[in-house]
Amino acid sequence: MNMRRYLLLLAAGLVLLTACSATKDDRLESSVGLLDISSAPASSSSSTPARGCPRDYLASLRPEGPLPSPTNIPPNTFMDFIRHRGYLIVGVDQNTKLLGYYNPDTTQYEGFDIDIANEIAKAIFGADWPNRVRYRALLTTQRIPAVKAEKVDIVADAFTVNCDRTNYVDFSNVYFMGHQRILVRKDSKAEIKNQEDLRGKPVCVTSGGTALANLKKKLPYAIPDIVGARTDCLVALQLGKVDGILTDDAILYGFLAQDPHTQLLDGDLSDEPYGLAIAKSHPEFVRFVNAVLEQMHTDGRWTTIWKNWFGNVEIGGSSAKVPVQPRACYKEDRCVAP
Amino acid sequence: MREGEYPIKESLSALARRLRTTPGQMRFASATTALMTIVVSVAAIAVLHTRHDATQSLASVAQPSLVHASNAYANFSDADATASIAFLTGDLDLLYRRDRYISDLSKATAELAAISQTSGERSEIEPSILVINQNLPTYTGLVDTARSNNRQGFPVGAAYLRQASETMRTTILPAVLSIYRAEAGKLGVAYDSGRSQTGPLFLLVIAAALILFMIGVQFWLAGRTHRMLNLGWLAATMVTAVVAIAVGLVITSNTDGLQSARKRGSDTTAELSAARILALRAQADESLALIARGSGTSFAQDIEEVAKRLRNDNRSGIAWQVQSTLRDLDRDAYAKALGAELAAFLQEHKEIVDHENAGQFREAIEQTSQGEVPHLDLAVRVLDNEITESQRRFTAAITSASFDAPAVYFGVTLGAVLICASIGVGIYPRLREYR
Repeated sequence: MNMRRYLLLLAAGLVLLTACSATKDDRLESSVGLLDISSAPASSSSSTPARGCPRDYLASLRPEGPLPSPTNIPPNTFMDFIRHRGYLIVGVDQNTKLLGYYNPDTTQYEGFDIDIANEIAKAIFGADWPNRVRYRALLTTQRIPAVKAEKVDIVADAFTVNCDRTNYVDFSNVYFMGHQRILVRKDSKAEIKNQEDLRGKPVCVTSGGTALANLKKKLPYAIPDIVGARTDCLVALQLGKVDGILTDDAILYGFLAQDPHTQLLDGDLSDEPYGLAIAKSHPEFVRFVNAVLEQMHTDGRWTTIWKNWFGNVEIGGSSAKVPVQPRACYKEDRCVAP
Repeated sequence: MREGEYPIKESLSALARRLRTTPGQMRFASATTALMTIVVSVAAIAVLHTRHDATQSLASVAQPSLVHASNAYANFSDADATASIAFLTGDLDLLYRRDRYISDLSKATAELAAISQTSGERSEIEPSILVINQNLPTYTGLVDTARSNNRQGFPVGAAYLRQASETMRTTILPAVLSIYRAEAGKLGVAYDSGRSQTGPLFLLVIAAALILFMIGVQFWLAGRTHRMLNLGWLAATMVTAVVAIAVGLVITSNTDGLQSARKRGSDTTAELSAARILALRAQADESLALIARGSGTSFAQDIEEVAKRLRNDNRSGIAWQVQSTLRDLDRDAYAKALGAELAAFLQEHKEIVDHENAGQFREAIEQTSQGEVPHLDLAVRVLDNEITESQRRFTAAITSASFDAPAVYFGVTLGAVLICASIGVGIYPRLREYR
């Protein structure tokens, strides 16, 4: 009788205690779990294997008559669309000194490629052009996808015209002939005097560009070190992670300007004909751009722009000479790549 | 050998014979009660000791270490974000920014030193500390190189800063995060051992058994001795009950205190810290994406992932959880402020991405550096403040959970002595009646 009451009390106590201890929540663990973020690396689009290459892949489309004035742009063309939209979107690099970079001091885009693109904007918008250009920064690997998806109207970014790329985008006439070369540290002169000295040494190349293929072809004995952005190569060279950089001379001039303790090795490794890339759906825009380029060549603007950027570059003690201007080459003329 | 077995059998049967007599039974009952009292007392002290230890280590090691780790992360992150924003707006030499960068770094190292000091035996975080110590000079070196390049207008400065941030994000911050995780794990273990109910339950059962046994003995005594009450045994039972209730109260208040310390203090601190870590990461991503100038895709991807976890408009987002926690703690105003700032940041982020995608880099930068205090900074300030608050709540709760262990042990021991003495005093006169 008494016993039963005690047992009941005991049982009640037990139930109470277990009830108290049952509230286990894991806000601590769940909040810690939220901090696991494995960020996926930026995916790079690798180009598909080259298809058959026409011999005239360097040839572009002939302009239709003389360049129309900005107020006279033919209706229903892509230039007309850009004019009505109010701005031209240019794909550029923001880190390549002398070619295309964002200057934080002036908050302006500057460089040879930028000036070329600005000439296109001038031809579309006239005197009002400075407020009508939008620059979109692109990685080397992002250029073709951006043009194909029409995220940019045109790419002006040391873009070498090669056979494979003409399968995806159209190019203007060649507006600059670059050559790939190798930049090394001056202190490494003792060891690295020529390309042969790079045997077994790491050489930096940018992914998505033509340099990797050139390195494999011309310096198969060097070890490629592939980076995402062009300037990463200069960092790698300055930090001693690589012994050389292989890329276009125009880009290397910009590196030279940022680091006097570097120098170019003798010898061109390749020709890099630069073109402005445009989506395949706008052949009339390609013709228009070619008309602008032709005009720039005839009235001397091209030379002025070149001198403005590369006139002071010193290579081996003497300043660079104005290169021979690339000759216009059109499919209609059955122009064949050199 | 046969002789050897004989005395044992003999003494066993002698014992059995004695137990059949009333005084033998009285002696047996008294001895059993005394033994049970000692067992219950030792168990009580053991349970109390476990609790005391857990409470102490929570108060002086686990929780402070968690906060130190969280602060170290916040300071390192802020240093990186400060360097990046200053870089982006071209004012790396503005004293305010530079000072903040430097003070962030020294605060972060001080927090890490505090963790190392809190306890000597922490081999599991030593590798992480080593990683931080090895990479911090690399980081500051890269930031300084970036700075000098940027001052000369060299775009390679951006590449250096990106490398610096890469070092911060792939080596230093993950190491701090792993320290944070280790400390959070230890905190969880300390709470689990402190809140375990197995010991108290066992204690309750044996204490109840003791009291029942004592009551049973008194009924039996009443029958045998024809006396209604045995005062000694009655007193012993009451002392047992009093000690049991007192120990029960101590354990209950300790449990309540720990529960409240965890719920209102530690869990809230952890949530707020997680929100702060994510917010700071988003902030760094934002400016780095712009600094990378086109090579910022990975940062842009990261910020989308971080933003998803940071959101306050769905249950899985940490901000949503933090807001609901703050509301539960009657801090609605702060929950609202936090929500508003985070929403404003996410909106701003969207605009920046839109600008960037439309090729309006300058506008994107202006958007980033707009105003003296960015929204995310304000959100982080709310979080800082709330972490301090939950730290205060933790201290209050853990103080209420703490008890004066030596005094309680003494009380239990004294109780045991009193119980044994009382049953002795109670049974002795009854035994004499059989002489």
